[in-house]
Amino acid sequence: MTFHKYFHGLWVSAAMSATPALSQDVELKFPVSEFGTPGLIDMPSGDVFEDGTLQLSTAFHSGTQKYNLSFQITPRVFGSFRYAIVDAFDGAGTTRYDRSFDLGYLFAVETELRPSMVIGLRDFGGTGLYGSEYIAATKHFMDDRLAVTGGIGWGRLGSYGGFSNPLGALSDSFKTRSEVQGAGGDTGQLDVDQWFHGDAALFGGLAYQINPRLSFKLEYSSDAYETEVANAGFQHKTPVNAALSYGFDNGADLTVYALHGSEIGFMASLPINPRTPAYASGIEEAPPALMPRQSAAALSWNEGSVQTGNSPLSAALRDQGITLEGITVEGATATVRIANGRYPAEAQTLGRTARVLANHLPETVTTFRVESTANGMTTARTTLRRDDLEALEYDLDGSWRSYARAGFEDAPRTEAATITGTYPKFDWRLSPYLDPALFDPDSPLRADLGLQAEAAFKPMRGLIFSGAIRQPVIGNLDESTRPSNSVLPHVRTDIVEYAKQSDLEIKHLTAEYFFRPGKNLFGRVTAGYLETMYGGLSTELLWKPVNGPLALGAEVNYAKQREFDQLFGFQEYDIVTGHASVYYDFGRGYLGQVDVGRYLAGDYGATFSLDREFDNGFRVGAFFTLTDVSFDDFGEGSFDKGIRFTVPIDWLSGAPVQGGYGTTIRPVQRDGGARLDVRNRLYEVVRASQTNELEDRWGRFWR
Amino acid sequence: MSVKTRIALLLGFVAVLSGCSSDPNQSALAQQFFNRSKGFEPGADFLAAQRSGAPGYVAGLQNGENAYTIFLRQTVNARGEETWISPDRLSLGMKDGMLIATRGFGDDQLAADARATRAALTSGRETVTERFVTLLTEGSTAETFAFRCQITREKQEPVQLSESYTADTELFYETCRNGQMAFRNLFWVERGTRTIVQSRQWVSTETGELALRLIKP
Repeated sequence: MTFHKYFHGLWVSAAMSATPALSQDVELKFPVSEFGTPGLIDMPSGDVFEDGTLQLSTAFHSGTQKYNLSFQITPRVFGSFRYAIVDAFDGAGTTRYDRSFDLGYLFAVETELRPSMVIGLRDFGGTGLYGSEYIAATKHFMDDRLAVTGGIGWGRLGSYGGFSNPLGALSDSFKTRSEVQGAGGDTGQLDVDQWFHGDAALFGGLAYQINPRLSFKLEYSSDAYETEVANAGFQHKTPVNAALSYGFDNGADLTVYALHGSEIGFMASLPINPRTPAYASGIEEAPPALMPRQSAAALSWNEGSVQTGNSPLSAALRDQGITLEGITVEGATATVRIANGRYPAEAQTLGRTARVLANHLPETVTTFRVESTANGMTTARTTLRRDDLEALEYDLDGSWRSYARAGFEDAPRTEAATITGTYPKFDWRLSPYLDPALFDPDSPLRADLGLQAEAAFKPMRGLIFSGAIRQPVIGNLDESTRPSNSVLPHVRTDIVEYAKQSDLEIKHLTAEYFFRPGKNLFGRVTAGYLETMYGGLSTELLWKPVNGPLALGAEVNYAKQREFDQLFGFQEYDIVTGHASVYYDFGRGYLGQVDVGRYLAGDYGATFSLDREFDNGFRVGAFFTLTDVSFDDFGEGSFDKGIRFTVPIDWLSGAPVQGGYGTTIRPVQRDGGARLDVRNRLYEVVRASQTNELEDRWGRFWR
Repeated sequence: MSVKTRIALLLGFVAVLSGCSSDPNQSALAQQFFNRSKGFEPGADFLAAQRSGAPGYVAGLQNGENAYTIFLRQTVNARGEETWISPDRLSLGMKDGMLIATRGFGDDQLAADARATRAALTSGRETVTERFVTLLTEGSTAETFAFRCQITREKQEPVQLSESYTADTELFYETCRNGQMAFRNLFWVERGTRTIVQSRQWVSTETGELALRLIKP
């Protein structure tokens, strides 16, 4: 809370605090299985999570650990990533580290008579350890306190009490399933020819909410745990499992469960709602109030004085975290060029800029044109009228009315005269860093922690010389014992060598130039040490209309592999890579991207990405890459794929700070489908200040 | 270098370096994190209002322990909407004693229309009114909610505003519901002038209620 104790000794009368606020109803549910998906204990259910929920969970029973991350991608589709560690799965003395993905689709929403129904794939792209498919139905009774589930499963979920596959009536091929459970198969491939094949079995159960804190689950499991029984001494005494869960106010729960009459397990889950930041409207200071109009004389204003960096207007904007880079006043119109150094929501920058302009420009200036910039490029021009600001400051629908009255256009050329002394600029920063490598094939968590120094010198608009050096202090990224066995050029799989052979390292050291070649066009040239493993030259051109959902990009790079010590030297390997990209904003936060081109190992193919970005900037996405490298040559995983997250700093803290913490989780990093990791690709640089993003967060205009 | 030494070094460096940046915003954030209890220096606007003898409120957040501050009126626009600012750079939008906006509270009220309630308080009538509140949602969009509010006159009560001035007031409850949210506002309305000298007004679900009392010199 930002409300600070300032006026010591004051009191507020007992009468003012004696009357309690009216209470709100609380609803609690405990729908998570030990696989992290909606379900009972081992068995899935016909439920889904609330749209957008990110569900973290973990489950332990003797010899088995599961770490799950699930995401309700759309109201009807959920996906899960799982990292499991299973002792003795492949025989005594062995440990299986398994990564797997699930997918579920709600094909029937619950009605008064009909249950909700989900069709799902469990472990569809991993090693088949938990490979199974199911259709589950769940009906809720007693004001949702009782949920009854029934379903049919195939694969591992058809291994106990199985019967001949009813889908065999459609084709005899459904009656057999070729792969032995858990034997591995073609890791990473979609074994579509096995889905819903082989014996099927029924499962079911119920979940009962005893009170707002406690719930009880009982299930009949169709999983025989065949491999665990054969190799790990697991005893399958009964198909019945039971669990007791305790729920917390934030939706988290702790569960103890009995598994097949022989094991006691523990489970914990935590739902994260990306829609819910720490503070809905942030804890930054209040914006400047709109003051009454004043004449030029009253403001001691003249056009010359405002052209310097120490004018009251510049100072007032600087106080808001906004740099005034240019201004031109012609008649009743002022055009300014600004750089937003503080607010994650550009709409908030525009709102504060407009109010500062209104308070510092004479009453004769009635129209404000604000040019937003990104890395020196003008990205959009927003036109706001003083009359509207004054009319809508406390208007009940002031946000949308101000959006409706604003004008948005491209700004390929700035129309604001540059303020003397804006350039050169020099920025620096010292900070700790965390470099994680999550869920690699031998260890769930590796990471380095250290110190990072960054500096950037900007001699003119659009030109940036920058670098970052890192000194790892503690960590275990260099402790991996997996040498690369790739038959492709080792463009990424020597990552352990980079960790082992480096100490003080240059993360990047580049010269970047950002420019506007024409209307709706954006350009970038980057040269130097581009990323930790490659240096060279990167060029990019982006076509992105200010008001449209579609963008097209092209990128050509010459990349040369850096020495393992990550200092100034290079290795022999070099390559020309490049991609043509299509970006599309589908609306409602769904962003699609397809990149077609040549990858670092010289392979040709395409990367398909889908991200869901919440209006507050929290982002969850997934991608996969298919290239002309065969699945065999690619190695473990068959093709590159992964999931990624970005959590904005302001989502976590409420403070007005740009940027966020992001990471990408791949089941395994191989050499096929590997793309150059150049910084500041144009699409993400440009889009924040364009219309789609402005509209998403326009509520912040008056904040 | 041993692992323990490295950890100690790292923690030390993190504490020192979190505030190291050419960006004053970053540095301020780090300083705020490491020194949360430190008070804020009042802003220039607040000091100017103080010098001009602007009217003030003592304010307390009902959800926060020791969450008190004062607000001074900074400006009034052509529609009679007032902006009040605090030394710790929060602000309120007020109109005729009714809260119509907050800024900087974490979960703010963007705007409100409480004219019907104000009319009832002015006339002293027990009645049903409609109130509208626009909140800034978690997704940074504005959403307007309508409430049905029951105005009831509870009692007559003196409110001491200073050592030398006690206002003779009527206490009114405004009980509002809309199916999703419910809250109750309290208004102490001075008899005769019909000025709201003390109130407890709902801001948002997370922020809760703000208690305000006029400062009388």
